[in-house]
Amino acid sequence: MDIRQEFKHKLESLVGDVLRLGSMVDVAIQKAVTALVEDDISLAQQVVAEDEHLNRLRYYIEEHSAALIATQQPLARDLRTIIAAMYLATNLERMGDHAAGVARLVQRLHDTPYPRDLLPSFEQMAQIGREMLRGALDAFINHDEQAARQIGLRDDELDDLYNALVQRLIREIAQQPEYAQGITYLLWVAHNLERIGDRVTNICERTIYMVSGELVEFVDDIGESSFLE
Amino acid sequence: MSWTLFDTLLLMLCVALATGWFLAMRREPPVPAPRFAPPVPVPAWWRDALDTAPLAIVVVQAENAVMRVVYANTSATAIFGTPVLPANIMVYFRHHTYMDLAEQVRRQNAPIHERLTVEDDRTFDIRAVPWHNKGQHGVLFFVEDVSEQVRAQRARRELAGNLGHELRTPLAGMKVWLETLAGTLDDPKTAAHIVERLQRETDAMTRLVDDLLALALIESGRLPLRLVATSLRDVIEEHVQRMNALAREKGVTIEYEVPADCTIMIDRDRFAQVLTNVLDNAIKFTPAGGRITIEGKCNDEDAFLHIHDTGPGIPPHLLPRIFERFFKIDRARTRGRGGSGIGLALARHIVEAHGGHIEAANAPEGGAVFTITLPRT
Ligand SMILES: Nc1ncnc2c1ncn2[C@@H]1O[C@H](COP(=O)(O)OP(=O)(O)OP(=O)(O)O)[C@@H](O)[C@H]1O
Ligand SMILES: [Mg+2]
Repeated sequence: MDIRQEFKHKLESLVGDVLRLGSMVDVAIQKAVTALVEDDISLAQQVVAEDEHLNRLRYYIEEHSAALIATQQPLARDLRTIIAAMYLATNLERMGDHAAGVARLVQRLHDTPYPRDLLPSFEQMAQIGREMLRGALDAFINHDEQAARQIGLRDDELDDLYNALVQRLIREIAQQPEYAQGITYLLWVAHNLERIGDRVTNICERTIYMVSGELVEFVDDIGESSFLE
Repeated sequence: MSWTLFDTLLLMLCVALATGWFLAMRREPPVPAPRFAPPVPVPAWWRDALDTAPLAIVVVQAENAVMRVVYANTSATAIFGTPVLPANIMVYFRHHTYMDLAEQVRRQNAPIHERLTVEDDRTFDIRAVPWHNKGQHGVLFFVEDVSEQVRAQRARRELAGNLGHELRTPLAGMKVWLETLAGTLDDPKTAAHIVERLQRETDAMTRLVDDLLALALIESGRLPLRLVATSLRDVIEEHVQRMNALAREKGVTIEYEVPADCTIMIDRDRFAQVLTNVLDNAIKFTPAGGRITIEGKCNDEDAFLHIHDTGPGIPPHLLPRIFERFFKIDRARTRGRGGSGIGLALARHIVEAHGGHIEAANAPEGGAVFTITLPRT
């Protein structure tokens, strides 16, 4: 097999692994929220346990990328793809952490009372986050700059939902102090889900850079430091 | 999916792969095959054959760490969309489970069978099989959408819950009447009225339990039929008489026209349940002033019964469902006695046990028509 072919294979398998990680994260988010809605402790435990696979795949992708750069001297465009793959892997893995974070909170919420009619908003947030994630991965493999920009903008939708939810949760705490602890956990759940949207936005920015070489910022990253990660 | 279908397809595919390669080798020996083109120039006849398979067939070819989908039949396209082939396995399936399975199959060099549930309650039955040919290799996927079966299984599990509910409703009613009765014993007129209500509730419940028992027996194939040669006209006459009181009470008339010389082989008690349920529905759903027409026909092989009412008919998209157990279109519409949604399920089972069939339709002039076909021998 000639060198160029071999390199192409390796690059393709690298991108395949990124997609695989993305699919694992997608499923992790879905399971975490299902565990929340159905109060399913064992499903939550499974999500926490499986986070280890995500971490391992992320390191595998990083090493694989580094090896490609070191041994194959890729051309500029391929180099951008490899670096994007590394960057995506990091962000995807962090999204996995957020899913696991939700799952851990589900375990705590199991013995803490809270008003269950709040749950649909969380399902909705997760749904939007997952749609964004899939769209972002599509944009990445199709080198679709336009789609990446669109999805980056969808993060606003998620942020609005998050802000409304936070206000509602705080109101609930005031009105039903007996639920304060449970609702506080829910605040953390919401925060984890909101961070997922930010990570997707990062992926979109990186895709745009990979395709066009242009640097964009969708969000001013003030939320990063604030609370409860 | 039956194993025979699976085996046949596998065999077909192997034969086809071999034939394809043979043809490829013979026709264009000097040109090396492109690395990731479909492994074979596929003859049209087997492509057509595979495209009619109700099962998604996807061929993955492996080279080093890269796995690519090189062929997918029409059923696969229906599930996975139409990415340009060859496509990376992750780009094609978009779910890591397929890649996990493919890796596992290659490692173990043995087939794997797994179920995957994804969005919107869709469940897929996945079989992954290793293939090798002349130094090439990969994984074959057979994927079947089993969402329907899975839902049916769940419905069966929910049956117990349904049963409890259906028995509970009349019982709750009876309890209320009994409590009222206890307080009205010094008022014989009211008491008599309540006793009458209780009798009606008990009748309805007895009918429900009878139907349920018959249904359970017949579904497990343990209800033997005692077939007796019977005049179709006599059976209808007898039933119309029996149901006439109920119909008159509702202001509905029943008419029938059945040839005198038609005998059928039926289990009278069971067939009575069929007619009772179909007529009961017709009366129940036909407004006052309406008419029910029963028309019998016979030829050498079959007897036909059309039962036509002047009620609202059945929404077309629900026609296939009304014979399901516990199915009712609208709780508000099933007023009066009964209304648990097992009448037609039972009727269908009994008719089918007789070797016949029952169908529902809407008449062009309005109203529902039920057609029962029975073999005469
Ligand atoms: N003649 C009819 N006209 C309109 N709708 C009908 C007619 N017959 C049946 N249906 C519809 O089909 C449904 C199923 O009928 P089925 O006899 O199985 O149940 P049911 O009459 O509701 O209850 P049950 O017979 O157990 O007392 C009914 O609830 C009704 O919605
Ligand atoms: Mg009925």
